[in-house]
Amino acid sequence: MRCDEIKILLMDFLYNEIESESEKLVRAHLQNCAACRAEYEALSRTSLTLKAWENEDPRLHLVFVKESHGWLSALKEKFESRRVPAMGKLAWLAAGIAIGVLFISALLNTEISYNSGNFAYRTSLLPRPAATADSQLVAQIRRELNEKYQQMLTASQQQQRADFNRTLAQFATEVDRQRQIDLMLVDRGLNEFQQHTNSRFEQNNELLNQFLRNVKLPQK
Amino acid sequence: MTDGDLIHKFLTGPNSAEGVSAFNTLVWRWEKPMYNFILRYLGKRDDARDLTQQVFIKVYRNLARLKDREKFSSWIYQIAANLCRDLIKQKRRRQSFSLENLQESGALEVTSHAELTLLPEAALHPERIVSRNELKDILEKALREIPEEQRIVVIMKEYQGLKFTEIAEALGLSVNTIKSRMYYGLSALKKILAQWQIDEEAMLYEV
Repeated sequence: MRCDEIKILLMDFLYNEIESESEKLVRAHLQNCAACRAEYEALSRTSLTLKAWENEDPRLHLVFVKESHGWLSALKEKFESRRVPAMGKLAWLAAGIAIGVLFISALLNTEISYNSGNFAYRTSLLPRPAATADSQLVAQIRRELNEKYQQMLTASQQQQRADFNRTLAQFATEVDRQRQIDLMLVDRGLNEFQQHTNSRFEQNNELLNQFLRNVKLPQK
Repeated sequence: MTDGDLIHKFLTGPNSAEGVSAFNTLVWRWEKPMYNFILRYLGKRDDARDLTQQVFIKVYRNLARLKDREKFSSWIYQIAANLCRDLIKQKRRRQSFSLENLQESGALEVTSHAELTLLPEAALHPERIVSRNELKDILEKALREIPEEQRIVVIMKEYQGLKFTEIAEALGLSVNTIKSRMYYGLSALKKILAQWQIDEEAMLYEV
C-alpha cells in the first residue's frame, strides 16, 4: 500500500470505524513506514488537543407548550380528531359550503328571480337602489315604446297585406283582360272561317245549279 | 426510550399531552448538542441560542416528513447545518454591503486583515503553559482558520461524535469526500497548532 492511499483509511483507523481487513493493512503499513507513523501520531495528538474545548451548557431549557389555538384550528382539530363517519363529515362539509355560498351571496347582493320558466341571476357589490319614481317613469316609457312598436308592427303588416291584395287584383284583371282578348280573337277567327265556308257552299251551289241547268236542257 | 420511540409517540398525537411531552424529551436530549454544534460552527453564543430554537421549530414542523426515523441524528444536523449556512450567507451579504460603505469612506485599509494578524497570546509566549480557558479560545481561533467545508466536518466528528456515514448524510456528500475533508482539516489544524506550539502536552502540564 502506498502512503497516499492510506490517508482515508487513516481516518477510519483514527476514529475506530475501520473494517478488520483494512485495519490489518493499515497496521502493517504503519509498522513499516516511519513517515506515516509520525503523521498518524501527530493527527491523533491534534484530535486529542481539540477535545479540550468542552461542551457548554446553554441553559436554554426549551419547552414546547400546547398552545391554545384559534377557533378555526380548534374546529379543525375537533373535526379531524373525532371519529365522525364519512357521511357525517360530508354533511358537515356541505353545510359549511352552503353557509359560505350564502354568505358570499349576501355580500354580493345576489338577486335570483324566476319568471315564466327562466331563472335570472345577477350580483352587484353595491346595494341596489329601491324602486323609485325614476324607475316607474322608465317602466312607463318602456311600456309606451312597446305599444308604439306594436302599432308600427301591425301597421306595416296591414300595408303589406293591402299591397299583396292589390297586386293580386291587378294580376286577376290582367288575366281577365287577356282572356277576353283571346276570346275575341277566337270569335273573329271562327266568324271568318264560317264566312269562308259559307261562300264556298254558295259557289258549290251555284256550280251545281249551273250543271243541273246544263244537264236539263238536252233532255227537253 | 430511543429517539425513534419518542418521534413515534409525538407523531401519533402531536396535540395530546403525551405527544407534547415526548417532543419535549426529544428537545431536552438534543438542545445541548445542537447548541454546542452551532456555537462551534458560528462562534457566537447569541446566534447559537437563536439557531438552536429555530432548529427545534423546524424539527417540530417537519418531523412528519422524516422518512427513516433511525436517521433522526443526521436529519437534525442537516437542519442545523443549513440554518448555519443561511446565517453565514446573510451576514456575508450584510458585511459586503458595509464593506462597500467602508471603501467609500476610506476606512477599509485599517480594518482589512486585522483579524489574521491577531495571533493568540500563547504563540507569543510559547513557553507559557496555557489554561483550559485559553486553550479553548486558541482552538476556536484555529478552527476558524481552516476552510468552512473542512471545519464543519471536523466539528461533527470531533465534538458531536457522528459517524462518517452520518456526516455524509447530513451534508449530502459521499463518505469518501467527508473522510478526505476530515483528513485535510485535521492536517491543517495540526499545522496551525504546531505553529502556535500548542499540543496536548500543554494541556497535560496544566493539570
